[in-house]
Amino acid sequence: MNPFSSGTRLRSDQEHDERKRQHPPVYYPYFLNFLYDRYLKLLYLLLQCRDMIRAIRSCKTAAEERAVVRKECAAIRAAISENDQDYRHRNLAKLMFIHMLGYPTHFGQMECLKLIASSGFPEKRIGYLGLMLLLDERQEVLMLVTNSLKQDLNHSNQYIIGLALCALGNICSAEMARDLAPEVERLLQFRDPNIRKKAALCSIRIIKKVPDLAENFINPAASLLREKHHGVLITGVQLCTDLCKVSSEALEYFREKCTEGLVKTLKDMANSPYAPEYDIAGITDPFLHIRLLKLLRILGQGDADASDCMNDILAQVATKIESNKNAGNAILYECVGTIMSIEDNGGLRVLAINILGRFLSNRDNNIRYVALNMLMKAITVDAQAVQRHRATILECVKDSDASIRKKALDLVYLLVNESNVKPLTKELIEYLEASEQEFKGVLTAKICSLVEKFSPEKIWYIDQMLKVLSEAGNFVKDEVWHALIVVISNASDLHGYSVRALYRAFQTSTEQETLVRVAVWCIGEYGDMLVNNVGMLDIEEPITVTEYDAVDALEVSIKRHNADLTTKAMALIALLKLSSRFPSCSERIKDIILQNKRSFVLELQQRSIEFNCILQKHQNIRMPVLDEATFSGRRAGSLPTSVSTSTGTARNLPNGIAKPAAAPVADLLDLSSDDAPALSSFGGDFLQDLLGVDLSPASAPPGTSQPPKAGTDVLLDLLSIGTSPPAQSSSSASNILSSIQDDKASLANLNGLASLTSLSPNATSASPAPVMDLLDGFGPSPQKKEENGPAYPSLVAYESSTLRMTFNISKQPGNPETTLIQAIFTNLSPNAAVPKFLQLHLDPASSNTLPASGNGSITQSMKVTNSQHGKKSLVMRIRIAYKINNKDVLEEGQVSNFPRDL
Amino acid sequence: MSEKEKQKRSTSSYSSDLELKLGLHQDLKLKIKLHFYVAVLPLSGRLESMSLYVLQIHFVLLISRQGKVRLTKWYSPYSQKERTKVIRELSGLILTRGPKLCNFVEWRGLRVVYKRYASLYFCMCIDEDDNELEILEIIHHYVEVLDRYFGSVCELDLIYNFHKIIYKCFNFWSCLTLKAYFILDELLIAGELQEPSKRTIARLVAAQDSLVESAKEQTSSITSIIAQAAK
Repeated sequence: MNPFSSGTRLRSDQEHDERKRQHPPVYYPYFLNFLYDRYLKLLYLLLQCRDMIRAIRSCKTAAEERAVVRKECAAIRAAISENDQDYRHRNLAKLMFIHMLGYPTHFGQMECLKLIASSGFPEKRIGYLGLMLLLDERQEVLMLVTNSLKQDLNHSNQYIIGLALCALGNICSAEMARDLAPEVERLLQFRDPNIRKKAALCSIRIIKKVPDLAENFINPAASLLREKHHGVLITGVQLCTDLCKVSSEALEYFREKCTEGLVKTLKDMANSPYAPEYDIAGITDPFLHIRLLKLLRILGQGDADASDCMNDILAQVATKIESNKNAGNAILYECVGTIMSIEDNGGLRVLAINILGRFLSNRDNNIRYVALNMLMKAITVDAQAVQRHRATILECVKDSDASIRKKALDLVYLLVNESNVKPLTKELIEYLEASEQEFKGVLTAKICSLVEKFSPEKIWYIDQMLKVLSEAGNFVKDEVWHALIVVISNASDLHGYSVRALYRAFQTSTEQETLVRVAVWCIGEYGDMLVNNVGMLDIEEPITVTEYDAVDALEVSIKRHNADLTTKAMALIALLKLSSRFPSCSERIKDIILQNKRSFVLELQQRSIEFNCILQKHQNIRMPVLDEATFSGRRAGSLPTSVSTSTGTARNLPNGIAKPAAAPVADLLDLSSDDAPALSSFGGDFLQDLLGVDLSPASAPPGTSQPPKAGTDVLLDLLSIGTSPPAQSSSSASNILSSIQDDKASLANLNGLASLTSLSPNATSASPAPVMDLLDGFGPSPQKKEENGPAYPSLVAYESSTLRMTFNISKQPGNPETTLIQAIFTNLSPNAAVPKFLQLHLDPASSNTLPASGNGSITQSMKVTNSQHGKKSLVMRIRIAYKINNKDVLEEGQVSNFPRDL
Repeated sequence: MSEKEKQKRSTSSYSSDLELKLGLHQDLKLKIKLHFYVAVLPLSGRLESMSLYVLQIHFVLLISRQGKVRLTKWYSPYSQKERTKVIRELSGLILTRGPKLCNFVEWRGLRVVYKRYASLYFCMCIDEDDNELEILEIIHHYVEVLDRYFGSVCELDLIYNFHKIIYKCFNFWSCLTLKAYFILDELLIAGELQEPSKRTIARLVAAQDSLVESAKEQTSSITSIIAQAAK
């Protein structure tokens, strides 16, 4: 703790105690330790008592320091109360030191005022210093000093005037500024230049505090510009600069009257011979150079004439100043800033950008830093010129200096556009591997945002995100990987590719949490594609993954030692989903899920029990519930917009974790709980995702009394634990549910649903009905199931911005090979094609025009006979040709998400 | 200043009066007072009052390599609590930076320019769009003036250790720290540079010193100090 002790001796505690007993602790100002010198010791003996000398030693702990400071403060306060004249300034000096150590020193403020009020110069000097150190402009005590200041500003001794001006310049408040402005204004014409310069800086403070006073200072300031004394000239130029900032009147005045004079001054300076007094590194007064350039910048901004006037001198400064020393570079830097700010002059701009280019390749880090800084500003002026230095800037991202790295990264971020996003991102991602841990966070955020903003195609986006996730997944923010999942789920042709790539990345490393999460989600959703190598792209290397391997991966992700709750929960859901797709592994999956039954974490335990229940007892709802999650409403639109909107506004929670209270259904049954998109579609999405039923407002006939949202609420309530839904709205739920099907014959599809709704009164009567009861309730309807054959969810076969096509699927009892499909077109002449093993029978469509804005639908029935029933599942290719706004539109798509056993 | 703040201020100044009377219980009082200040603290480096106008230099800090503060000068209003916080943050930021890195650190939307001379770090805080290179030059300017005043470069390092310098001058223990302040006041006012000539600064400080000396000779001598100590 003691800055003055050269070395510290280590003593055992016992010894320390021993010493303490011999010499009772004497508090001694440790900062007097330097007096531990024989000569000074003698001197000090005369000054202070002997006991203290014996106790000279360092303070080793903060507590000791505090004790010493307390003692000192007490002594000073005692001296203050005794009104000790002789030691007043010495006490104040001590107080300043204590203040500097960070201890409160309010009690000394009045002492400062007293010292200032005394007559001698030494007292005043200390007093003003103390005033500036111990007080700031926000303290009311300051008002008390105004009078003394006024007197001192009129003092006969110029040094005392100097002190007063200095104090006023450093701490004056608005009130003081108003009171003392006339004095300062008068001092601007004082005979001694040192007072004039102080008065000029004081005026700056005054006009900043009280901009109304600016006009009083315009004329005196202009006269300062004609000074020869550099100190006065510098401060005069600064005063003019600040006047221009606060008052447009002053700006006009100086622009008109002083531009030429300033240009001439700068020219004289630039051409002046060697002046030892002001010379720094061979340049005469760089400070004055810089200030003149600053003022010219303000004068030239937005004024073509003034800019013209200074073109020559700027060119001269930019070319003539040598850049081998810091002073020269400082001038060049300021000059570039001025060139960039004043009105356009092509030639000068090129010159300026070239200077920055030279700066960028400089070995000095400081120079490179300011170059990057200035390029950031230049990019708004001339982006093309800055692009030329892209390679150099990119090098700076890899610099060893954190400040430069950060600046360069910011700049690169601004430089990226559609044309160069690929190489730049590649570079950045490569660098991600080598970068330091602290920098990774910033870098990752920037890369993710770039990739999202400019990605030309989905596959590239997925690739880059995968790389980022496997390099620095732990730094990736939640909304970023949520967006990735949305993009993957919406790119139906890349499902297989994504899941395989993620699986591969997952096999290499499980270190990155977010990578694991995305991988787990994809394996859960598209596990079958992983195993069957569906949708293989040419660039892919084939891999063989068995169902067992896929489940393995999920098991690993649950059992990793560092797995967090979210990942584990996601893995559980993925397992649940796989259980229906991988019948061969269902026993194993059940085991893994059961292992979490005793988890200490409520979330996992609950999931484990619920999922186990679903697996054991509810084979019939498993399929619909576990169907692929769809992010409808996002499918439309091109990738970049969909990505950016989903990160910007929508916070997507795939697999709905972490918000169990807010969205119990989503949690339970694994839905995308989009909380941001419009609420009306929210309800629809929910039901659709929940049960695989299309319940967009379009398909709901007007018989429904309640808006769809209410229905959702009911379902939400129904499935949530311990909440009792109002009976009335539960009936509306059944309304909605039954209204999905206008054809009574196909009501059988909704077998599961029907039983669910029929149950709702039960649920309402038993208010704290736990979810187990609810699910168990499916038991009583087995006969119905037998009659009607298995129920299938309706599925969204196709969806584009203008059109949605929904299939309602049913089976004729006793004829498992034939599937009845009822296609509902909302928002058209469809062609459907099926592979050879399928037979297709199309009925005529109910209509051939579709009203706009989704308030109508066309229904067409199809009969598909699967000759290889049980071996292959239904696949269908659809082509839809329609006219919209007199334009022919042809849309094609493949329906491969039929339930497996059709 | 909002009404609430004013109220707090007045409370704190009231309590400081109380303290003087209560003596030993000051510690407790001070703690309470500091809590008041915590509530008043603005969160960003740029204070509200500062956004009205732009200062060139917000503050000057001298920090030793061990993180001890040697000199602070605040041109923007910071409360005592803020000051301590600023110093703590900045010394953490600056002292950990290796050599050969650039001399600029971004901090709370402001920029801190620092340079190390011997074991002292000279730091100045400026706005984002100021000329950093010039600030480096100002720091060097200050160091050169200090250097000229105190004798040699290496002694500059020792000013604050007092070991050698003390022979030259033992008016009172902190005189050299104060000298550094006086020199700074001749160099900067209101965060703006006032004098580009090293010689002029040295001359002005020396003139004021001699004024102090002559005043002192009139009033006291070493014997009178000893006499007072003996009392």
